[in-house]
Amino acid sequence: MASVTIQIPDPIFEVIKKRAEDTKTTPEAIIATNVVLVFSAARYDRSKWLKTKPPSDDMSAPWG
Amino acid sequence: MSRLISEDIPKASEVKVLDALEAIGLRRSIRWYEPNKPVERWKVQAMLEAARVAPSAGNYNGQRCIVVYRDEDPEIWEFISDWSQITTQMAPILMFWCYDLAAYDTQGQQLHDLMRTGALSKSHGWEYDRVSKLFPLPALLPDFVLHRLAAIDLGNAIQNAITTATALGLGCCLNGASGGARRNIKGKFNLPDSYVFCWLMTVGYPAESMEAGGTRGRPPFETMFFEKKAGNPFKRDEKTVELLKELKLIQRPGPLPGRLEEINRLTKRFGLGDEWLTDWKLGPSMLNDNKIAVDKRPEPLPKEELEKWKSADVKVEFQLHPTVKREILDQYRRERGIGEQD
Repeated sequence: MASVTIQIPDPIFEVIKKRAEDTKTTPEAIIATNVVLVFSAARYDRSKWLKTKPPSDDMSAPWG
Repeated sequence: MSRLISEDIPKASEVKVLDALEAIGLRRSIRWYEPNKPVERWKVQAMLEAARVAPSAGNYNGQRCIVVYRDEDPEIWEFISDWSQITTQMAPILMFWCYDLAAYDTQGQQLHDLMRTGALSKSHGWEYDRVSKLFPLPALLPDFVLHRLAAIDLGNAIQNAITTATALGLGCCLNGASGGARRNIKGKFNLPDSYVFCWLMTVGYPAESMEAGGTRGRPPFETMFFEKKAGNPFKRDEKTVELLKELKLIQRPGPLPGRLEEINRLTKRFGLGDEWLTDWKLGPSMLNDNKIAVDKRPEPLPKEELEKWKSADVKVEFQLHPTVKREILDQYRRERGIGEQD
């Protein structure tokens, strides 16, 4: 099982800590549960994706 | 073939159907079903057809449903969490509603399809290359946002199905499933990994009245809907309320007279025994006064009235398993080695 170290902005970690206190668990467990729920179904078949997206993320570039 | 499904298809002129406003107004979460009354297959299909044409953001179309017949899978309720046990055991049909995140794979193509068929026009800024650059959404949006969009779409689909069911005289109720039941269902129905199971819907003809004791309490209209900015109430016009009452969108609030009698008769009829009789007085909703922030325990039923219910002569017509108690359900599952605990 993978183990990662992440940096979380303090105000957001305060929210997580509070949730952990409310639900009598640890901040790590709250984070892990949410990560599992969000990503377990995110299994995309990228071969079906449209492929004309330009490599740049610059959305201000003219379209079409 | 399930004996809880009937195959007859009527002529359109023979179908009794409520109009949309009345169906929306009459909709209740139905928790008592006629367990052995077959449901017409065309009505189930109508619910699914309604779900298919529900609004879907960018034509995502990720709504999925697995229809199960109770008599073909009589122990299906064992997979459901405790709150939903009794409802699930008596409903002839169960619908397992999911969304499929993998539908985002082809959402770009689905948008192009909307352009091709004239739903989206160039005058609104839709161009082939523009869509191609913006989609697929998984490449652009955080996963949580994708879940949110998909869940809203599924909600649209489910609501269409519920309104259709109500219009056709059927009752429904959405039931939650906790973690253990959720994982058990995934294996049982062979759900692909990209499916997210959300709601189990019970479907059948109500054993309670369609009004099911009246409309449920809601917070005051003005605390929910605003004009111009949040906190500035949308003025509720009483003449409009009267009009909508005539059109049956707004119906009688619960508890209607006889509601306690109705639920206690059903409790006995389904063999749940004296232990599960409702032994508190029913009263009007307290949600319509937003100043009441403190919960208030209902008053107990007078002893003599409860005794009257205990001795009421109601024939047991359908015996439910008393798994409404969590410990009984957990023990039942342990003994049978069924899946994970909730």
